[in-house]
Amino acid sequence: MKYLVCWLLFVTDVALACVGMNAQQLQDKLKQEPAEQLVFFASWCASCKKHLTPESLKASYFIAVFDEQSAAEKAYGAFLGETNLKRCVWDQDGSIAAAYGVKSLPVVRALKP
Amino acid sequence: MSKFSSMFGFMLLASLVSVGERASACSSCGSGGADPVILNPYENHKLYLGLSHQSGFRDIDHHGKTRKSYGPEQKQSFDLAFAQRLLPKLFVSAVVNFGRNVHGSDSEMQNGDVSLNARASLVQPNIAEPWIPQIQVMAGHRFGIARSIYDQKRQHGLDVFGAGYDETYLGTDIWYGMSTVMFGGSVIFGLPREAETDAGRVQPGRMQRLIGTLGGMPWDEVKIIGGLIHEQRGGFKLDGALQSNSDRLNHDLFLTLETLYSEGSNYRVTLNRRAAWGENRNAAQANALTLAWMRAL
Repeated sequence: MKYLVCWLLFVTDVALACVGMNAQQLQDKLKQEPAEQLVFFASWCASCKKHLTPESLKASYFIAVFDEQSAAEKAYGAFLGETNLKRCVWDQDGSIAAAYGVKSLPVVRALKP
Repeated sequence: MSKFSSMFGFMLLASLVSVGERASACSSCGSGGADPVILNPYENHKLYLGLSHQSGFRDIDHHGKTRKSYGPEQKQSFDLAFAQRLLPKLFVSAVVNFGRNVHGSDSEMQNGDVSLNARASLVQPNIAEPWIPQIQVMAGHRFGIARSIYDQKRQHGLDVFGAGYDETYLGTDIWYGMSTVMFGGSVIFGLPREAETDAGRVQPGRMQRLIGTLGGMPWDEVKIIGGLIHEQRGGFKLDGALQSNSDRLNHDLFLTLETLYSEGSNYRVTLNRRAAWGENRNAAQANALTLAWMRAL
């Protein structure tokens, strides 16, 4: 039964979590599904709230850095809704923050078209 | 010198020891009740340099009466600290300092004590649940390596730069920092160790420090916090004999302004007024200004 559920989630592309990625995987994702900007945030960052807005949802990927995956999902879900977790990426090994030079939060990086 | 006057001088000098310690600001928000350098979750190493100037010393006896200070008229210190993250929720730091004591035209420079600290997060705050505070536990140890009041050679305590004994600190820190108004508190216990000194075998009393903090961020990259410190220490023993009226009580105030710039250096200014409010015993009144520079590496 659990294999069936996993398969269903896979084929329907339903994201139930901030997807864990490294820098290379994010690059690949951006090539397939471009975005205008990356919003870097963390669940413990009070100043990040102002960037977690539904208005920027369509044009952005929200990258949780320096954070635990479950905590990041909770924060993202509270401000952007749990149904929009597809736009959420969790920096699983710190490589995304390093690749974009993120040393503090919040940070918004515009992407070249 | 009579036994009474020598004991009185001893008590006044003992109160100066606390002033010789680093002017602590706010543990609840990262400016150090026990440790001056705090790592944010995205930082793995940080360097801290602090310059502090203390003046306006007045001694307060065990009746709470303020008297002219016997010790230095000014104390300046240079603090150097380094913090290193060991685990995602645990970091350690080391602090050394060098001080200069001034009385009239005379002055002396020496190193101060060294301390090692550790801080672990038990509960991390989350913007989705601002009512849940950050909870940290902290532990530290100060090595009393510098010359102390008990070993002083010079008049006016000019060569006093350390406490004279080792002390272990244990504490907890609660901080509500997810809202516009931030607040928190700390409880720190100090467990001093007996020390052999020129004055004899000294066993200071245990210490407890309570810190209440309130603050906010008027601008994106500036945090202002202020708070009250209550500190008391039990009476000390000299050669095994408890000295009467030797317990200490301090009530201090502090105000800190800190920049939170994203990349590069950050700065902190702290104003501290010792024995500023409430009842104080065997304490020292003083004003301190600390300027600190911090950089994550």
